Amino acid sequence: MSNFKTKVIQRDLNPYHSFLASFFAGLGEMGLLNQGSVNIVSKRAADYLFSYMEVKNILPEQKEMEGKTDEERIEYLVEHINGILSLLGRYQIKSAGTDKWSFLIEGNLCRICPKGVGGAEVNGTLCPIPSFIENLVNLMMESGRLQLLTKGIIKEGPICRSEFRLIS
Amino acid sequence: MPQSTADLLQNALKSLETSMPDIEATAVVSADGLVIASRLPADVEEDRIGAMSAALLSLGERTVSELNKGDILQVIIKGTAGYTVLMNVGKTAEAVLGCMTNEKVKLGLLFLEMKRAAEEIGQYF
Repeated sequence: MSNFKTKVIQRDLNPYHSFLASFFAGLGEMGLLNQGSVNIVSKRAADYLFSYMEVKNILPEQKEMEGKTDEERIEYLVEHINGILSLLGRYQIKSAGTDKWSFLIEGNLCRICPKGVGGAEVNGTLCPIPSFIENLVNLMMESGRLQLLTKGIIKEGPICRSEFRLIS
Repeated sequence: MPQSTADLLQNALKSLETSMPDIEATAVVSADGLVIASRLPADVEEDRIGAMSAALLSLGERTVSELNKGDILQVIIKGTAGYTVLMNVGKTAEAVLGCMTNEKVKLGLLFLEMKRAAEEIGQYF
């Protein structure tokens, strides 16, 4: 089975994943996109998607978050986002200290990676996820604010890690 | 006490700025657009400037390559109120040195000072 075919099947890619990942990859290879600009543009995408979710009435239910711990609230919101966009195959939110969390994505199952899916041949990373999650979660949370501590993704073997903290 | 890399970079940028009065601001940005050290005005969004600077130099590199014009030296942006000059730092272009000046700057001298600063900064990568 060809490498690309394996990728499509293993990561369960839909046409939108393929289009977006390859589009980002192309922009990255042209020198028009880098992790810094992806971080900025992802915020814009989060604002836009929030508006879309308002229109479609698919925002998460605030009552579902009542009584939950901060970690549970963040997990609930990330699951909600991934339920709609299906960008991540497998991920984990793990405590990394007081009010700090590591967001660990299994890179081989990510569906939006401009490098892993889109095939971008560039140095560094082009991951839209950390900044996108930070901004969209903040739009959905009634209290507290999530702050991204890493400036994008840190690759640790097959895992793509970013760090967040919650500010009250 | 040994200085941190952050302090060394800040000192190198400060030294560059004081070498010419026409230099208004400086920054060192990673090749993927993330600010490493900066001496930018408070009203400037440094994340945006970092991302744009790296992208501009990267585009410049590709243009030079496509047009068979050798290796890139600088990207120069001329505005009515001054210049922005960008150049690679490090043996394998790990970072970008950016310099913002007023319109009166002597470009030849600026290039020399930036080259000197880039060589110093390159040692810290």
